[in-house]
Amino acid sequence: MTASRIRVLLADDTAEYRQLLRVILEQDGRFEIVAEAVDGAEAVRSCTAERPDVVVLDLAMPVLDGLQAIPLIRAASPETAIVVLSGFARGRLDDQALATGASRYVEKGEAFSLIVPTLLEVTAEPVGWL
Amino acid sequence: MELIPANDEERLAAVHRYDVLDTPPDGAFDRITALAARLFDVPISIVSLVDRDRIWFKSHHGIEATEIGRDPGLCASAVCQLEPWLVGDAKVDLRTIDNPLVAGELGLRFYLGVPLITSDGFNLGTLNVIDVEPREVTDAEVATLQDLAAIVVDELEVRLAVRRKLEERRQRALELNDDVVQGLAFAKLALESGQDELARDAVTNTLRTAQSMVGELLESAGKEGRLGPGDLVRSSEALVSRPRPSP
Repeated sequence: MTASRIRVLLADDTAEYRQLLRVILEQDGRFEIVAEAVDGAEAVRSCTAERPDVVVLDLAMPVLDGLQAIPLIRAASPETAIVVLSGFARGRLDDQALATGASRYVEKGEAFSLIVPTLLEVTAEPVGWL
Repeated sequence: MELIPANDEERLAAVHRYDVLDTPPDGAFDRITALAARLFDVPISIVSLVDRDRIWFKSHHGIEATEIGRDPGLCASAVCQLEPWLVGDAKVDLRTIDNPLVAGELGLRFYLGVPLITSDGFNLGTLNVIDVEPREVTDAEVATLQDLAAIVVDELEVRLAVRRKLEERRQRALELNDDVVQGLAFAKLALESGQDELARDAVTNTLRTAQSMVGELLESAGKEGRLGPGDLVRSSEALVSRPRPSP
């Protein structure tokens, strides 16, 4: 079972969010958190090193924001799916995030029950929007 | 005459902070040059800003050109000093006799340029009046042009202040998102995943953050943040547990 777990990178500058997501995903049992990143640059570096199946990416972060990080992650680890988890309401940034290579845009205020299915969905479909 | 002032780099930074170079024509400045031309009874009046290699015209009454090189420009001379720059008859004035604007097609004879001086003492360019005939000016006329130049600078300052206000508001919105929206979204997520204690902490912290942000906003809005009778009359009833109606 361990071998088939989905490898996840959590990129969010808020420690509480990373902690909560970790709890949610670990409780589910189908995910393995391979790394955490506190800014966009670290997210790119970690994706390069860890090649996770999916990165859960915040948008407003220090050093590099999520929108800057998306194309760099795509270039560094093309097989990694990107799920944006943002505090900004959809409609303000989702177009840009999806156009630059994110697979999904989830609002932080949206139902918690969306997170697990979204991660399962994006890791089941082929990545490679180009 | 030396055409580059000693503090030109700082002066250029001042020119650029107004973010006005290469912007479209603007009624406020066009009214000022039209007024100056009418008052002086001359065909041409220009609001010029002296950039690194060019003189760009924010407003150009009576002339098609929107910029000229810095080299031949009379404004380049005018920008070197804080006093008005007057050439009564350019054809006999040694400072301008060889200038292409004088010897060439334009045939400029009269030039009066007063500097556009910012509140921190930088000379951005000029408000000038130009004629193809020589002429003299009185002190009162020079003072009038200086007053008009001060209005040009006021207009630039107001635009800069508005832009800074908007940037500040944008910054505030981003902070609100980071500190309040994120906190509430986190609390919701924690509640839904059964992490009640985390949710309670998040709500408590977010409430404290929101209160302090409101305090800072009120302070920045003047009156030292103090509120009095009548300040708390709401435009509509408060909505706590019901969704806000869509506009």
